[in-house]
Amino acid sequence: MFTKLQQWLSAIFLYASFWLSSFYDKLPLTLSDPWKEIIFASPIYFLITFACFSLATIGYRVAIFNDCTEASEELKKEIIEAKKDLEKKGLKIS
Amino acid sequence: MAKDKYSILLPTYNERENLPLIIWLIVKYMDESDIDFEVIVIDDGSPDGTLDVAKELQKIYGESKVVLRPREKKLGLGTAYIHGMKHAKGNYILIMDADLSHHPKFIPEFIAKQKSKNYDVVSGTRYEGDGGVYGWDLKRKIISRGANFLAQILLRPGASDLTGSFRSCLRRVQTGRQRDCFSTPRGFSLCSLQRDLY
Repeated sequence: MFTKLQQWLSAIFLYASFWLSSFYDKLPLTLSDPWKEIIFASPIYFLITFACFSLATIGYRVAIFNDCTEASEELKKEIIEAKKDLEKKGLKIS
Repeated sequence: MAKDKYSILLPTYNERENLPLIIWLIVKYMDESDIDFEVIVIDDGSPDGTLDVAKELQKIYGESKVVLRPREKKLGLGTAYIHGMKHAKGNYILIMDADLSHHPKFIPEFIAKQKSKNYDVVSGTRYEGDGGVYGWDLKRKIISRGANFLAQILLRPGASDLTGSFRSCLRRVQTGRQRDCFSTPRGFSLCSLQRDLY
């Protein structure tokens, strides 16, 4: 099995070689100029898409991050109960 | 078949206020669900006297329930888990924080989840379902979500919380991995989860 690092490196290597061979016209294909331009600019497109996707995802996840206020209230009550009970059992917290 | 026993590892450092509370809560919820357990307190030589409090608690709850495995000085969270595991008598290991950020009321849920499909590892998460945080400001939330997002993309670990430390697993899983885990807390968390998943 490949490690995650190997997977990432091979993907990057594949993409870089494709991009470079298109840039130096070494691809065994005849591409029209608009296609070449798209390939030439594709790293930027990917970067922008990824940035937008990241911002949207992180923003959304920050917004829905659970604030456990109820759990905190519940815990506070339990702490009071615990302290009373522990004192009864003879715990001395000086 | 013998009844399952859960060894709960509690690494502590300066937790004299919280330790009685967390142990009280553990005992409460474990007794409620009739679960056999032991709490292993691994204190790293806290200057605030956490160990003295732990000894008091041992007197109250008994030496079979509260086990003390202190270490001389602060040696780190990762090695604390490994140290605790060596002394664990249960067939299941559960790790959690002693500072009350993990509530023992979820332990029965962990156990039910584990039993439902005989999982090797069950992990709590802050990022999904009912999981969450308390008292975090926006900056901390953004950093946390951002780092988690990056880790998810790069590593695709199949687990939503890599750095949280509320987990349970079979003892054999834990002991098998001891030798090749590094000893930083995050490293341990990450590495142990990764080994469990693959």
